[in-house]
Amino acid sequence: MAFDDDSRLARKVQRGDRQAFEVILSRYERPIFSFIYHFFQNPAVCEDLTQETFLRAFRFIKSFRTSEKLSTWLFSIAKNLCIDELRRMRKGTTIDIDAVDPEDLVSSSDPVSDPVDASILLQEGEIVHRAVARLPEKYRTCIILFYFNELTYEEISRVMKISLSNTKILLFRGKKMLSGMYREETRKKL
Amino acid sequence: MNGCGKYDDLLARHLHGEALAPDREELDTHLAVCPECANLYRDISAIDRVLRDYPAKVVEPPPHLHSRIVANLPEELPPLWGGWGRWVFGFGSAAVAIVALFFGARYLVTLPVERVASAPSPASTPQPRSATGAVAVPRSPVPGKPPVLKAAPGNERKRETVVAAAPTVQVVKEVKIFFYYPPAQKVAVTGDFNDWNPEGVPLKAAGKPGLWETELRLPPGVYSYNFIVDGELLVPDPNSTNQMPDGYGGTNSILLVKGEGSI
Repeated sequence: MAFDDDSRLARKVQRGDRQAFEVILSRYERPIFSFIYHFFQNPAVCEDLTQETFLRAFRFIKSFRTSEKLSTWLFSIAKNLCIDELRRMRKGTTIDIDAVDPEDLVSSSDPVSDPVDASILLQEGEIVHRAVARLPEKYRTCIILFYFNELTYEEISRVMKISLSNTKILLFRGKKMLSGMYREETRKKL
Repeated sequence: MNGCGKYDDLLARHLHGEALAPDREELDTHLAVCPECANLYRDISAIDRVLRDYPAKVVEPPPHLHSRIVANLPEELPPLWGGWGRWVFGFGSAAVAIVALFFGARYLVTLPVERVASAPSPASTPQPRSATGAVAVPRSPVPGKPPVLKAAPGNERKRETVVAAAPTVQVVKEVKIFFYYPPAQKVAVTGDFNDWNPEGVPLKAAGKPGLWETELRLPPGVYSYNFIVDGELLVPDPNSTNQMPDGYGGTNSILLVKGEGSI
């Protein structure tokens, strides 16, 4: 079982086995890089933050408790680094995007009445994907972990250190915001 | 969609597949008469489908990244996790200080407090106290287990029995932590109380240059902790009179938060 295997690997690293850490790196480099990519959609930032995630994991591996899941621990480090980076980028601005009411984003335009056409799914996917990167950080994290990294609600709640019910609320509101943004984008194209 | 707020919760539960049959019926009835909610439901369902079907969920990292990370790994785990002695010397002149202050117990609830198992510290090794009542005692030797107070050999008879009481009462005390180290740009404290979170609980400048402080709200118990300086260095508290090996060759500082029932 991967979880047990991860714990064994982590224990080896805690005892100083560098090779074991390289196995962990091989296993989680892709999902962590993907998470950071979807978060920023900027390859240059992704490389640095992926590297920093694993260097920090290595430095702090002794603080990892093998009773928890290594993957959620790694995502938690990556999430914290992303939020730090985002705040660094926003330094100087006074708008707290997390304070934006989802309703403001949703009710700003009329609903699109036509059903989604499968032939333009790819285009829609790109519009929605771009919109994900404009979400406030907590909604963005939640949406990415659920849809792109395919974590369970419980895993997300552990990564984000919030309750299960709050995880579901964030996901719902995130989708609500995305639908508002999608409508806005679609209206601009018309 | 004014006044439809209560259907958000129903809608969310329905979309998460958790709505019960009566909820679904209520929602269906509402959607049939409220075009705005019906549109919202349809839009969110569409977003859900687009996200689930998004073709590029997994993004391949550039081939050089793996070797770049490996090349930047330290040859060994950072020695900071061990060898607290050198930090004591390093910080000695900086007059590092930590004081756990007990400003009186503040009970979040007022129900009767169950007696907490505790025992006096070993008679042969009297436990040091800070002026404010913090007591440092050895932590549980079993990593990962909740810390408990342990009686010294021969003192077992004084140990009190833990009696499960219902309802369980959560007593929380405020513990003020100070750390003096002028070169630090940022300081955090991490330990048992937050599962050794690598980010820790940040300390803020305490007014005097180089002095950092924070306040933790902790249930009575014994806690291992250390400071994180500038997000990098894990530093045992040199001013804590009780340090214990962390089981990996390093050192943890120990803090006792006393409960009312403690002896």
